[in-house]
Amino acid sequence: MNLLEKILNIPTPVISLVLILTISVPMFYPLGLPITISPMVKATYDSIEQLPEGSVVLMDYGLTPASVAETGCGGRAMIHHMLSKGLKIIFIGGGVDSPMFVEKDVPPIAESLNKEYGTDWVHLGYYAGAETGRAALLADLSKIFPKDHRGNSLQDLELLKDINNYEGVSLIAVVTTGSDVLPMWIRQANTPYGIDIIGSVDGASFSIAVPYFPTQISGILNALRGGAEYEALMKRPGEAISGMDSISLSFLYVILLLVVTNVALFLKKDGGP
Amino acid sequence: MAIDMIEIIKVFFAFGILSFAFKSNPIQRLIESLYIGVTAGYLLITNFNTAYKNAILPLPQDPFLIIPIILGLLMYSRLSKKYSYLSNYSIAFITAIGIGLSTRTVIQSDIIKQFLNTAIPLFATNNALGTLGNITIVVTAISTIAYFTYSFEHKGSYGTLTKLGISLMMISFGASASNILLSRSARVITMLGYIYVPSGFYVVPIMIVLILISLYPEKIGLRKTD
Amino acid sequence: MITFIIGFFTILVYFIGLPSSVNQASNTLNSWATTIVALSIGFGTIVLVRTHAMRVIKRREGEWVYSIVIIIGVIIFPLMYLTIGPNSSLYKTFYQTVNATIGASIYGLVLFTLVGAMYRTFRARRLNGLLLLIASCIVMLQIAPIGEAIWSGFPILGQWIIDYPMVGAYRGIMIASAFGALAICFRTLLGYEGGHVSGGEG
Repeated sequence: MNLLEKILNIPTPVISLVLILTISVPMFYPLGLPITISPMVKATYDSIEQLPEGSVVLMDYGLTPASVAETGCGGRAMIHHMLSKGLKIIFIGGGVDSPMFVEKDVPPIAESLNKEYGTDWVHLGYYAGAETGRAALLADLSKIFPKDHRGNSLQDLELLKDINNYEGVSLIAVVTTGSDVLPMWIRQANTPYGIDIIGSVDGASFSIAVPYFPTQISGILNALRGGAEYEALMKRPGEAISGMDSISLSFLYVILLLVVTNVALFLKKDGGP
Repeated sequence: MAIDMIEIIKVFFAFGILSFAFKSNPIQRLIESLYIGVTAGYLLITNFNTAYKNAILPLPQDPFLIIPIILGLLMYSRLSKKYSYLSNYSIAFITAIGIGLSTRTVIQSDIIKQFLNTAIPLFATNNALGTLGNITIVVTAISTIAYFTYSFEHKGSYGTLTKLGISLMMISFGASASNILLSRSARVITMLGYIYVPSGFYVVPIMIVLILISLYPEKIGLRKTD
Repeated sequence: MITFIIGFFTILVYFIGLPSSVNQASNTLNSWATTIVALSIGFGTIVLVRTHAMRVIKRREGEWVYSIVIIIGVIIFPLMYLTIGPNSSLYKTFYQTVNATIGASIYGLVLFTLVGAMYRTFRARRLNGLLLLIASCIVMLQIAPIGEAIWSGFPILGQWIIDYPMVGAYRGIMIASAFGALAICFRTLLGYEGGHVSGGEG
């Protein structure tokens, strides 16, 4: 097999091994490359920034084990921004894993900002039914959440004293990896009630969400890149910014692999069968 | 040095799954089986708890909640060939609600507003890139819709329009592929984060040995069972 | 009939101003649907356990050991929930150690398949393949900070591709699929599509 044939038939384990190396090296030797802010991330930031103190945000914190880094970084940065601005957050979760991640991620952020459960943030828990559940909870929170995730009655929570449905919610923030989740929120919250929506979504969902920006979605964070830009905007570097170094090297590797393969293909065609 | 059992277990799981990138092996299959089982169990108990809190506990105050409870339990009639038709009532109910909720707003959100957002001025003032962009959006949207419209044969000038649509869609699918690659890379960063810990220094070599033994047991005199 | 009545009722309530009691009734039906979905999830778990129990009973070669592990896995969380409760630290630690770790790792494997697939399919044999490849490379260099370090034009080009061709294409796809979805939805409501119920007839 000549060199061109070898380039065109590299075994997948070899490709995988080099990929692992390119992702791993920056984890030990960071590159520290600067990150520029895109208009969509700036718009997300501004959507939160323009809300007056005391506004209520409904956050669908739909993290899964797979998306802890990719959408979770942006989600945690948004939570920090909202709480430090004095906004009140109602956490709900469309996925079964959501409650676990809310209870893991939010208390440390809230405690660092001296925010109190029940007054500044509440966790209502998981709701079943996807689009049906979203429509039902926007119409009547107490029907879907008779109690909060910690077993408290909704009447005992200061934050929910005057809120039982979509009225009083200024913004909906969605953290998700499901490509149909943002469109569902647009159909059930933005279209009928005109509530602004922002989201931290994975790469596949980003393509589907982009046509809705900026008229139906006020801002989108594109997976780890969006999270890194938000951390840069907040001036709080974290996992996302450090992860972008691995993304840089691995993407460079993939591009080189594709370019070399196509050059080899071109040369092979030129040289005959 | 204190032994962190939880860290060791995480390295075991993460490296076991990573080994599948090179060769499927019994240890990776065992870990996957464990994951399937615990996820199914977690899903079951979380949803049952939700149904218990929303319907069974408030039942004395709202007796009509017996209706969704019965409809939910009727789904299990699918386990019997003779009575599986009873589940049709539950499915019809859920389907009707789902269709009703999505249909009533999809016209506004996915059709009218998208048409309005596409009907933009073609020529952006003093901005060549913006003008090119606006023309691109309009042409791409129209040619993509033309491609997915099968009421007309894709021939002649209509065929040229659809071919243009395919080319423009290829550009967008390339962009989409990059975004998906970003997503998946972030997941590998999480996975490697579980492995690159102090315990990883000794757990990973042990795992490699265990995986090789499970793949080639005859090399050390054990009978191959898989 | 049930699909027709409830479906059209849900749609009409949105478009026609009706007394609040009627709107309440519609909201109640929505909340009932969430309860039905929550109760139905158990069906999948039962089928899973039944399938794997049969493999264990029949001692299916090379499979039954994994089936035992699956069945044991199914029992763990419900057992912990009923004995120590979901707010206990053991419950949360078990979730973070098992579900979170293995889940993150399994979904991470997709990257290797994806890169392998890109390596094999992103070969510019025709114009469309070349467009796919070039757009993909430019957007990758827009996403990765190293792209801007190589040339400051990559972020601008990449953002332009996202803001214009990608938006146009996905907008077109969205409009076309919305029309298709509407057609299927109305056919289902009117009983022409019966695939959602067993027997095939609406």
